[in-house]
Amino acid sequence: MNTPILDVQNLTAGYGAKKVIQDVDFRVEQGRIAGIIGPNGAGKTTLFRVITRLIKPMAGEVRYCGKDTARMAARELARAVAVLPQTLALGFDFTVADFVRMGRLPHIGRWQSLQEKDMEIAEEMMRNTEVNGLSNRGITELSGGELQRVLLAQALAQEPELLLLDEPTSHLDIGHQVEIMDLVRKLNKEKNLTTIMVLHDLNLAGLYCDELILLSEGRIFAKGTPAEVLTYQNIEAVYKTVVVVKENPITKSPHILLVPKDKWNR
Amino acid sequence: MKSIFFLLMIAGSLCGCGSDSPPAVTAGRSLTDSTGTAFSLEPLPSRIISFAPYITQNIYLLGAGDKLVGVTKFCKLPAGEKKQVIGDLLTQDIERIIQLKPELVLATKEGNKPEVVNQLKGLGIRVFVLSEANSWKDIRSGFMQMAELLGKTADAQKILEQLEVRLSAVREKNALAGSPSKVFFQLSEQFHTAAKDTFADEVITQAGAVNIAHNAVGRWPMLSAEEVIAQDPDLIIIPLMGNITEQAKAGWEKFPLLKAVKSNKIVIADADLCCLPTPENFVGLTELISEILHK
Amino acid sequence: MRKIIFLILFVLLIISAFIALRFGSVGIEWREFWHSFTHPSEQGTAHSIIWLTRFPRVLAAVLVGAGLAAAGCALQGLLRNPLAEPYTLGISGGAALGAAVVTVFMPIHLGAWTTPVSAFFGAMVSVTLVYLIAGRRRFSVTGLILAGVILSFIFSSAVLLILTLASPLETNSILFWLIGSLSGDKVSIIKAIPFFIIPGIAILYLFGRDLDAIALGDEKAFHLGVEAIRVRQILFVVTSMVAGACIAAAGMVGFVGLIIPHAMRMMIGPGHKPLIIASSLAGAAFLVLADTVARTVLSRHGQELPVGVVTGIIGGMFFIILLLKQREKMSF
Repeated sequence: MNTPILDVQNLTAGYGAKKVIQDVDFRVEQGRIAGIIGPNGAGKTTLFRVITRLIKPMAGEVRYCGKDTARMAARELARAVAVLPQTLALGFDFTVADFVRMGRLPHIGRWQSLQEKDMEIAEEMMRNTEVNGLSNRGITELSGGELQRVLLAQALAQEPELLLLDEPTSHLDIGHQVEIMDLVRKLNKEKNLTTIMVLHDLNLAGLYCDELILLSEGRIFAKGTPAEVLTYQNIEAVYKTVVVVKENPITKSPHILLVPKDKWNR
Repeated sequence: MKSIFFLLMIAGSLCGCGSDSPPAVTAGRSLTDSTGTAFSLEPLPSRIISFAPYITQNIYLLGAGDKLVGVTKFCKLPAGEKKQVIGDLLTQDIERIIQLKPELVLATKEGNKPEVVNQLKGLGIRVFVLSEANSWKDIRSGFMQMAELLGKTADAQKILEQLEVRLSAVREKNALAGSPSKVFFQLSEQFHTAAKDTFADEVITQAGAVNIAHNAVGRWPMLSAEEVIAQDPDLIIIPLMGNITEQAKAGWEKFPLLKAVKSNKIVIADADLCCLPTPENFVGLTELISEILHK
Repeated sequence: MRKIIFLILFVLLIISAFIALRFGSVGIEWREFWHSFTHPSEQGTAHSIIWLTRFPRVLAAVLVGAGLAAAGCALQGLLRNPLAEPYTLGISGGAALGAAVVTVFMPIHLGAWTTPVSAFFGAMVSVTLVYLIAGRRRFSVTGLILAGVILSFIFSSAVLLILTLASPLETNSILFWLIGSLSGDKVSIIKAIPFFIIPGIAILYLFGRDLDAIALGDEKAFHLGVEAIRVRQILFVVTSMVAGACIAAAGMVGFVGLIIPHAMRMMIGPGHKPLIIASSLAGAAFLVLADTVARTVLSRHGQELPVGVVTGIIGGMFFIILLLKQREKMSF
């Protein structure tokens, strides 16, 4: 069997002495799209921060292609794994083109300058994410949807094997949500780019992910295909609310319908 | 602004010369300055730049004003005289100095920056660095040192003899007076004053009086108003320096019980007279104080 | 486009240096000027003025201007703070204290080196303290800024204490130094400061792309393979050396390290590699011109201005004009 691209083994992590996630254990195979879901405070962000190495595990390991990420240099990691954070410091008004080219940073040495090849890669990624028309605009002038696509272009310019996204659709309207998720799936198919994302929206998770990890109170509550994970029993147990799960008539993926509390008795 | 004026006033007073140079008559044809540099006395310099107001005043006193080609902006010149200004005490316009082609620059160890002196020496300009003088003895020998450099020893001796006569007249008057009076020499609104080892202190002593700040810490201490009131000086001297002088005087008049106020002995005196340590000012100020006290 | 701007700035620097050599408090005939240019070894008044007085000073202005602007540029990126300048991280307080102590108490005598060496030493002491304090807070941006600001306060208060104890003449001398000035003998100092400033600027340039990444936040920088804490540690030391050398040579010349990087960022964008080159060139040209103004504007009255006054007034006004013109596109 192939080594999984990401192998999370018995992970426990948190802040100070407080454990936020415990014994989290899952793996993601090459070419898949995996979603991490769960209610607020379930530990999604903490798990994401351990995987992206922003915090150290208290126990357990995160392995990338069999290598313990804790032992990888930042540059080595950045050549393999690209991360789309939820927040970004936008103090300096870089142009979109310069911003995307920063994705080449892990590949070029301190004494080198950007080569023709680097420029071409950045150019190509901007075309892939359809932001090539914006290349001379400043990043501070972009709309939310444009900024997400530019960030994605920068991440792709890293030529990663694994793409990690932290709630890529928050702050976006439904049109832009679908646009970004379609783009992620297109890249996944065309480049065989393994993608793991933290998602808030269960329906989007059901629509776009091959597999889901449902967290509850810092532990894995369920993992598997969307059909396996997004059952009304799982969701009601974890989110403490009543839902109805139907099948999306076109995609056949599970669709969650919310029920207000005063209608729970029916 | 006022305080800057005050600073420069003090700076102007930091001057005079080292007393350990050989006496004029037995000197060979060279002289050593306060930095240990030996100077040949021949040929006599004909282009001189002065770096301090008291030096300028001494040069005119010695009748060598015609040889002066550059002065500081604080130097007072006799009516009708005009000289090139080369800067103040801390900063000098090096370019201008080079252009003036001086044969001798007279600087002070305490008032000017050693950095500038070194720079000029590096440019091949002769700089004689005088050292601070405050006592009558040091002021005399410093004056003689300058006279030697300018080839005016005979004139200098004559001047000093006349001044000695005036000083002994003051001493005689002092001998007749009773217990010494107390003097406060006020340099700023914040009651900065001159303590031991300053021109003012030496003059006050010569005038047969006591400087109330004589034993204060530091040479330019800042007294509190309380301290001055407690000492109750017989005379308050305020060098004239802009409009703060009148304010300072008016400030004291709020204390009518002070001896100096009662007897109307708050005196505003010429700033140069009070602060530039030339032999003439030394005797002039001694006479002024003695006269007011023994009126 | 950037290359053209670099070229323009370089030409501007050459012109500034030429103007600075040509003009001073003393007028020199063109004929004499060319003569001493074409015969640089011939002694004489013009030679002394141009080559022994103006030239070392112009060289010092070039180095200090370039150093301050490059260090300011790097610190603004490093701290993601538009108000950062070379003196933000406590270096100025320590340098001022060093200079004040040596002026008043004279513990060492090194001739022309006395004040520069003691200012540099003071700067390094305060920088070390900032480093140690910030290290306890893992070199976060706020940790560094807080440590720098607080140490500046402590050291500045100590300077004020010394000023109250100093004689008026010493006070005056310290104040003059605090405003920043290039007057005095620069022949010795320009033999020392290039060893700090030139390699310093080169290192800042090499870290230009790291600074770009850090500008996006420490976490995003990490995802691009840049360890922000490490970079901040290294560049904090480098900028301190550069700023320390500048302070040693010229006292605390303000505004160059703040305004020049801003102005250049408006012109060529925020990418730090080109920005450091442009800032160095522009900072050098600006300080050379400002010093020429400081030397000449009141020279008829025998007065030289501290260059810090000129950079403050001219630089400030120039910056307001830029700000008003570029209101829409201000990046901060």
